[in-house]
Amino acid sequence: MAITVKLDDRLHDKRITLTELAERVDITLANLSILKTGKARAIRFSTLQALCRELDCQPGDLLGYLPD
Amino acid sequence: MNYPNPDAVEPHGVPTDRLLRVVRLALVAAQGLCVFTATGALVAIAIMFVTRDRFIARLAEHRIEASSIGWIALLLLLAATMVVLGFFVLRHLRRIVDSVAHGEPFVPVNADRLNHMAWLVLAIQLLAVPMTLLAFWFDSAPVKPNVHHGSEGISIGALLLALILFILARVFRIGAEMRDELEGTV
Repeated sequence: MAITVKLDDRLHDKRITLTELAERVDITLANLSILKTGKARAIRFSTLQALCRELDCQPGDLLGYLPD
Repeated sequence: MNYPNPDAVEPHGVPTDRLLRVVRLALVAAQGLCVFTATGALVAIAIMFVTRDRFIARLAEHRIEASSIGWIALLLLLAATMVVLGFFVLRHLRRIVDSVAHGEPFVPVNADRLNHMAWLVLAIQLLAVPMTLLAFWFDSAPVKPNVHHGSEGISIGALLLALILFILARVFRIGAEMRDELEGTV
């Protein structure tokens, strides 16, 4: 997959768990887990905004692009 | 506007939504009627051949040739086949109704069901052609039996129904794709 999700790195940097982040951004743990494992097909701007707010980062810090 | 509850299904699969429950009951009853009618037609064919001599005598009363027994059997067989196809149309529809009750109507299998229903409706119409010809031939007997066969050939309404079902199948396929995409959205 060309788009990579770097949520794990950000969680590690901020020292918070996925469960804690799920509560803060009001997204189910299952959905956040789908995003973290790179299984999501799309991400809403509202989700991205909430993640950036809570993790104090830019969208580019969460998503990456790997050319095929 | 009040939408039906997507979880409106009891554990044993019977929808709690009143309209869906009524429709489901009507479909089950209609399916039962189809089984009864098709069985009746097949039993009639069997009886016709078992009591062949008596049946030929009755035909003679209406000045119908004895050789017509085969055509009459074919007429009944065509009717039974049409009813069986109708049974499958109803079965597909019942399964779609069940999926609506489960809150999951936009699934690829429903698109397939609608497509099958459209082909079945067309097949029924195709069978209606020889059946109507046979029925008209039956009507042309010198002494008409006091029976109304109700055959009217190809129905424009049924062809329109098939067309609508083909289009609905495409609508459901696109709906299923959209739903699938939405499911992967976080």
